[in-house]
Amino acid sequence: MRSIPFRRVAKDALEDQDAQRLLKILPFAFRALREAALSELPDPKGALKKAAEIRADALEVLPELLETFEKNAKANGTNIHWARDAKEARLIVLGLLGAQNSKTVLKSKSMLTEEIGLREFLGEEGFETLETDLGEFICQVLGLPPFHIVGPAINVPVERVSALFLDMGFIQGPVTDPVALGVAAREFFRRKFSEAKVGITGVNFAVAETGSILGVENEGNIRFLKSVPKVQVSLMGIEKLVPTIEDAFYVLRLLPPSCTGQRMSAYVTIDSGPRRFGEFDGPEELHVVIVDNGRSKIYEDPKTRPALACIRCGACLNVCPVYAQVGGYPYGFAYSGPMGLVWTPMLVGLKAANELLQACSLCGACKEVCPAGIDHPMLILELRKKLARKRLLSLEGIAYGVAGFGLSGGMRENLGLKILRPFYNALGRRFGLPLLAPRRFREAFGAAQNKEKMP
Amino acid sequence: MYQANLFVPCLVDLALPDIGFATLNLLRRLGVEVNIPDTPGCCGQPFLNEGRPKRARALARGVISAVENGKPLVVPSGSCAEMIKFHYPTLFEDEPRMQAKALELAQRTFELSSFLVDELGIEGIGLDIQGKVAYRPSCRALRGLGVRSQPLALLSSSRGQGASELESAEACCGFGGAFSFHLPEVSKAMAHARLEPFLQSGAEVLVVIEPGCMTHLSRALGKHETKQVRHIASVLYEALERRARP
Amino acid sequence: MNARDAILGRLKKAPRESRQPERLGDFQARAPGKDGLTERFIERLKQNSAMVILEKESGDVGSALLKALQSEGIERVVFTRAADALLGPAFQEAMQTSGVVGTLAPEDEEGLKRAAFQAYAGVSVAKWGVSELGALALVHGKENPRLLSLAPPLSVIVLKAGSILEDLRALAIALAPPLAMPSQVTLVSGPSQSADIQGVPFFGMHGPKKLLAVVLQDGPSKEG
Ligand code: SF4
Repeated sequence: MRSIPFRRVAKDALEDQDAQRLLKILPFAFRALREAALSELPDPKGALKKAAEIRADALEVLPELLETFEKNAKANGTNIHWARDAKEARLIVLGLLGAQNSKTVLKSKSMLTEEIGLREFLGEEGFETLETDLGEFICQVLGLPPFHIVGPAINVPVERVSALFLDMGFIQGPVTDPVALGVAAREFFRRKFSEAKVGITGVNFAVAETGSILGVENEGNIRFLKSVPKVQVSLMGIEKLVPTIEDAFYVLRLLPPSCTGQRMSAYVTIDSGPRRFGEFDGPEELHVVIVDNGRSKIYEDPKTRPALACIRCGACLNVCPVYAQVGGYPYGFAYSGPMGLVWTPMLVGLKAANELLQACSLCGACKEVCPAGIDHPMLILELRKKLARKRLLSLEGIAYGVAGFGLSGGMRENLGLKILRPFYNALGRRFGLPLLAPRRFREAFGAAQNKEKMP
Repeated sequence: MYQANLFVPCLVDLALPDIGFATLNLLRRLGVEVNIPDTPGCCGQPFLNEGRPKRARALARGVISAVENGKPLVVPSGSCAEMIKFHYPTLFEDEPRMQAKALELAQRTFELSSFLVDELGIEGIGLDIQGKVAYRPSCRALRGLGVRSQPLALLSSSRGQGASELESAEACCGFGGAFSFHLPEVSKAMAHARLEPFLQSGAEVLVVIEPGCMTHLSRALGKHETKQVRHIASVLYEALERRARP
Repeated sequence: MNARDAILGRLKKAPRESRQPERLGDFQARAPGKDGLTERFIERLKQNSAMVILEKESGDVGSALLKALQSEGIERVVFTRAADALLGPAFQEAMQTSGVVGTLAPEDEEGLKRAAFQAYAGVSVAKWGVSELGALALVHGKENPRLLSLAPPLSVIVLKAGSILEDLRALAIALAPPLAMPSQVTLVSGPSQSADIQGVPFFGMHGPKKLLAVVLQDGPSKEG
């Protein structure tokens, strides 16, 4: 993958009035809602910690959980598929679609499918994939990347949505009321749902003990995709496993508060196999595609493994001061904000994520809110370390080498500093760096000290 | 007499010597005998931040061996204090002996304001601080060391004009060391966003405990008729001085 | 090597910490004891933007429900068989004189789909309630199909007060093996909603615009 141009896109975002207007409100609103929702729990901090424990414990026995899940899901009648990488995953889905005589596929929001470029691929193969999450749908038709994990198109102005819906025939004249626009889209989607043959969804949690998959949502599109189509294809990363329903519920209880600030999302579906004999709705075939795509590599190193605990709640985005300035576009991939910083480099390659990895001031706000116990700053340091190893001979590497050498000296005003100072200051003035004082403290202090000692 | 070591962060040493002197004189005025150990010129934080722990480790080694006198180590920078207290021990995970030393040093390392309040027990010293004062925590001292109330306590003046925390005071100002170099536009936008509540408030001085934040925010503020961003050491020292001269 | 073995092999080769999985002690939220379960359930469900009515299990079951349907202007209602059985013959009788036309969910796939997409209201059954969340847990199956609480604009969900559990942990225990999991369990906490356009929330994005919970209770009925 080519390098993610964080800085360039961030500069655009800083100029983007719509984005800026929204960013002045959105993260703060989400934060306030989150805090209010968590405060309902008798011990919010303890609950977050416990959820993190559950995720960490699960990861330590991940391969065993995957095996148990597979066994139990199969016993429920679920078809399990394994994909080593994005390409395998796409081909598995294509194979499943090929068996159906429908060229239209309905899909719910899933970051994994975004990650593996499923929709684009299916399009090339002649399948029309329709996003059914309202925000994702708007992104799809406008060709925009997701702005926020929770509200992918939340930055798109009403006028633009109105023009789009007018174009698509949802409305007859311009509408500036977001609610009216949403209601207009409802009718379009209902027709689509009633005719759906194949539904593609993501997975929020997978439960080993029962072979179940959980989906969390507010709109009801996931429920439709799990009720009407004959074939349901659900894609999940290998990291989604927890041992028991109880574990899944524990973490689930913290997801909506962390995500939208709700007590609970409107709908949580727990699927354990396709429809049973005699049932009149639900899929006849349930396929779960378990995708690795770089995750086992993240897993191999115990230092990076904790990243896999992420439950995609988006809480870290809402407290991130960098995200709050630039929104989701500069992150250049399915994942944004702090969780993007820890995931993307490991999925697209460190070098491609060079600029992205610098998009963090290490303030640590993210780690305080993460229900999965992820220490983003630590992980970012770890990734920067891995990256630095690959770029020893870069200009930066050399600069740091020189600086490190210069600073390792002690108190004295050394010759090197005297020579470097004017050059550095000239540069510093240009780039707005802190300028060097004419005399360093240690030198001045030493001189003062000597004066004191003099009789 | 109470004795303590003063660690001079590289930024203070090379670019902001005034803060060094303010800290030194403040401590002396408060009756502390100050020793400035011959440490390397930097605690290593910038190197660790950039993924160069080897370089950071070399500097850490130098710092640790320069302050083996068992006396407290006072650091007029929240992030350098956090580096020494929190990251030094993790840097030596594979060297138990060094790690033990790092842990011992961590025990007696203090960010300046927490040294004054938690260690010297100075609180509400009734400083007559001129002008209304607002305070911004240091991200790393706040989250890594829990330093928040100490500076506020120190800044509360005898006239009952306490320092206030501004809206979104906890959000990063955008300095972040090399971060401000890698993404200058974003970094600057962050500083301006943080300054907004300060500009709207009645406060005249925005006090920080981080030299880096001070330079960054000062630059973003530019020349302002009534407002300035200052390091806590300078503010406290000047207030003490004023009190001494009736 | 196939993908499965390759992935599992790689995971198993990784150095792993033997964490002692800390079994869950206290669930993070607890309801205020048995007595307050129903009140809290109702209070929270209402906070989640649902309507709630109480019905006496003995006596004239359904009078409050019928009144609510009438006031919503709803004339045609489709019942799941489970809902029909739970409300009982007395309710059916009352309905006949009320002017509301009720039908049972058709027992064929296409018929069910058509009925669900055309109905103004669907009546389903929740096997449990979750007091701490104000949520209804529906077990779907032949007698209680998925679509009737999803496609009609008004979703009516009936539940016995006695089946209201404290919290998600209690629900996990109720669901836990050795009982086989049903094909689908759905936790419903409110009407369908979205705030994807400019963060402005509204109800009825894809699923029901309104959610009406009917709590069957022994003792005097009161409207809430
Ligand atoms: S890293 Fe943590 S806070 Fe961020 S999305 Fe993942 S789980 Fe949520």
